[in-house]
Amino acid sequence: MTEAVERLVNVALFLAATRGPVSAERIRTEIAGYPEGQDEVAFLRMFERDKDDLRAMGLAIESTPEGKYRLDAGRTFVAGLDLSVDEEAVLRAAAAVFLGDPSFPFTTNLRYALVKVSGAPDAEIPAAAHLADEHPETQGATVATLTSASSTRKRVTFDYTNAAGRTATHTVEPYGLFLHAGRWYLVGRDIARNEVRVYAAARMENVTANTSRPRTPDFERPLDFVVAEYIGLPFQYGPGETFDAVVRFAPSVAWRAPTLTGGAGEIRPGEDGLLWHITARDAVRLARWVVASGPGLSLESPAEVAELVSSGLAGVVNLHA
Amino acid sequence: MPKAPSSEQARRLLLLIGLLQPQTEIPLADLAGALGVSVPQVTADLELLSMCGVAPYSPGDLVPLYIEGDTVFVYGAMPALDRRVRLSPAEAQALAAALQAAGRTADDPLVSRLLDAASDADPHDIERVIRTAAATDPGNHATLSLAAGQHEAVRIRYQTGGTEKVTERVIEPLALLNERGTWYVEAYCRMAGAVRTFRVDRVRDAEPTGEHFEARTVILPGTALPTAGLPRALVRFEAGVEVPEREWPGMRVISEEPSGTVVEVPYAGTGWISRQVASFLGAAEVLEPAEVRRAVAELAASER
Repeated sequence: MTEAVERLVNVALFLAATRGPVSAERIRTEIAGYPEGQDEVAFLRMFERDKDDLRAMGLAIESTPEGKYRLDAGRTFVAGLDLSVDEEAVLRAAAAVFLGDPSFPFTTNLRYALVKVSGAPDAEIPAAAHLADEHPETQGATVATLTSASSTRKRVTFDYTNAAGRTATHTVEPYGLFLHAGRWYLVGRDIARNEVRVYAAARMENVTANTSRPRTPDFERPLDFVVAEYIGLPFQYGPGETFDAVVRFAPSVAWRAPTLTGGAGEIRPGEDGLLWHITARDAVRLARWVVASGPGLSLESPAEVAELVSSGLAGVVNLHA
Repeated sequence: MPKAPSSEQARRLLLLIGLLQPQTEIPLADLAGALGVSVPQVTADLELLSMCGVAPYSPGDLVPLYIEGDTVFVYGAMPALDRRVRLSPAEAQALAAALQAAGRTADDPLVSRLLDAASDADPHDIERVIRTAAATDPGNHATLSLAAGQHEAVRIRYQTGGTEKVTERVIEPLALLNERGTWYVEAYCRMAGAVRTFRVDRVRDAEPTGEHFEARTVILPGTALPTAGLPRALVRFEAGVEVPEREWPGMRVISEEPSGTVVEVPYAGTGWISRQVASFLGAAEVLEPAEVRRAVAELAASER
């Protein structure tokens, strides 16, 4: 393994130190690490792998029309990034918190990104994260596999146990992933059902990505795909028909509206506070959400859901009298 | 697909080149910490790196370093690659995901400037496929995290859980915590005279005071919401109602009967628990203690 590591570093140093394009043959003869007496085909195969590895580390290795290679300095090195001390601290604080969280699937890449943009840290601020509360290690590992497959556009297959306890095998084109309230979710097209569905990572087992033809994508993500559109509030799920609702934020709590609504729906100024226009499916969950997210929130419409809140709270009073 | 160990180690070696400034002495522990590996591993990496270089591989062409004790000494300039290398697509994705979780989405100026200068990635493209966004104000998050790093007291206006009451207090931020996507700051509260945990999304305003406090040793709790030592309430849910086991920290099911499920739940103050119980709109009843029953009735009556 030592020879392979040394060779990769030497290739990177050679390309960075050399002006102008160089041929594969020159690379073979000048760089320590390519075995002597190796046949041409084996060398080219090894060099291809080395280039792929180095590109994955951020080095922009280009091929010229003449079949030579050069490092594109403009696309390889950071330029014009001058972070203020405060910006750097903000960046470190935002990122450092996830470095020890097994459910954050990009820990190594995050750590290396921090080193690249701001060097070695002098001091870390104490921080800890538990993004996922159920089997964080398993969710982190599963999401790492799913993200990699999503990036390279390879299909994934997994056993999935739904809320009713039934387990089935699914093959899915992984379009995107989101994290919501302690769980990671995959959004993708289920091949057998031919529809885009949402799957919880914590309910998956035996997750594998298609390894055949690794350089050839299995699918194309729809151009208009946006994973955030699949993140719903609790009252936006369920079998019912969708309906429009308006929630009022009293002036005293209007400042909480952007964070509570999470960017969903539309917030408009009203006569007395803010009016949040949102679609919902589950009237009972909407009524509960409004009470749980209070104080200062109330339902303007539909009237029957507002009545559900009012009569429900009357029931609470009676029950606790 | 997982990378081969050789390419992972080569990746670390290239990162190390960027950290080794000429004519410096760097503790091995600092480099190990930055790369997230052990000191023996970073020592092995540096030893291997000292054998790398450019043709003709004479001593002057190799990476100029030696290790003595627990320190690496860099006695010359790197043969090449002595500038910061841009982020790989996976690194850009990881950074964007972490910043999203801190409330800084693709339109945030810091995110766009950072990814524009340091990668080929477009933060909007990343956001279309990965979303870790937390509902938090990036300004308050930044103020509190900077203050934690620089030991600076901050004046906050804070809305206490479940109530409309907003209090102004000066806190000494000690640590940041993220639990299920929600941010908390662990801080010494001068008003309470004790360490308290504050939800960042309930901080209405945060303003640095310019006053620095003495650094304290912080032992981070295993969770932002420790429940040990708190009083317990007994709550009965109607049959068929899904018990909020994940949403109510520390909840324990006491009995499951055809008539309903009884749970025990820790609570720090009556504000949070009374609102949660009331939100079940009559499908949950506090059995005891009386103070929580009373708080639930009062809250429901005031919001009808």
